[in-house]
Amino acid sequence: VNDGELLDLVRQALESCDPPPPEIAAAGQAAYRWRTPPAAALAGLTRDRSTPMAGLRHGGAPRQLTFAGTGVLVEIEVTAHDRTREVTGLLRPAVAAGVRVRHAAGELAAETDPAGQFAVTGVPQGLVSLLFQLPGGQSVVTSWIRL
Amino acid sequence: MASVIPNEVTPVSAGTLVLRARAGDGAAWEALTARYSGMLWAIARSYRLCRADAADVVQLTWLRLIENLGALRDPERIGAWLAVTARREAVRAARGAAVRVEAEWNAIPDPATPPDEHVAARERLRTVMAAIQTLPQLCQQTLRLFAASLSYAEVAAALGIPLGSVGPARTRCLAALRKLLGGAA
Repeated sequence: VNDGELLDLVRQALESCDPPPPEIAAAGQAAYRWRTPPAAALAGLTRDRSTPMAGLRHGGAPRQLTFAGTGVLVEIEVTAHDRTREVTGLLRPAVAAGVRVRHAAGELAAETDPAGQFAVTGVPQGLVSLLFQLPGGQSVVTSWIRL
Repeated sequence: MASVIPNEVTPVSAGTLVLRARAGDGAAWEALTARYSGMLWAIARSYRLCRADAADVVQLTWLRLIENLGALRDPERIGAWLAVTARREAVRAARGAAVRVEAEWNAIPDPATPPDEHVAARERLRTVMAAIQTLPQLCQQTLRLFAASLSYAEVAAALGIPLGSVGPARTRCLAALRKLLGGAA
């Protein structure tokens, strides 16, 4: 067999033995709903004080994460409770803002107090992103992470 | 009856789909996910993640694209961008899942009616799969990615190797597989 035919055999073997789960295409499509407002500032993960696995191994010690964007900082602490997560955090500069905790199955709403602090319980384990709606229409969104 | 003429005879370029998705066209996003989900799956699995973790990496890669949709500098190179992103997420996930390295392959399903030629074809694919699994990791990855129809640039991005070494790797790994299969291929 030539290279092309051999590669075709590899393709057939993989398609039979390890096909992509049909749901990944649908999940990818659904990700479009999480488009951020054009004016949103993205805060990327800059620090992760423990891996999720280590957090679980060590009896659910809180995991601390920092996200930084232009002129904005988001610090959160995540505590694991079985299949849900409790997220407490701080938005800096401190401002009263709406918080939307976006996750695979939907979103949860919360608010920061004037000191920028917020807390959300019952966040499903999995991929999560926080969206802060600041006064004046600006928003800040954290990059997606696995909680 | 006149035959139905498809709206778009030539495939829309990936860069065009990115620009349309950026402008709010959900169908363009759907087309992107349809075009690249298989590639992302192949990349995630080539880093020996279990199926659940691999699905997670694919989803995270789409979310990274959503985050960066407006900022993407070269939409036409979206395939390589996705490949690099999937590699980073796969490597990160593999670190978190230190012990879950064994790939769990599906048993090749029996066709509804298995005539002799189906049985023979199934056996042949099993043999090929078993042979692939005895190759060095880089060869397994390379063959898997080429089998998923990635371009050379995408394979280089997915593996984090120079573009110039992709071709030689492809040749060497196919030769190694052919040798393993002997008369079976």
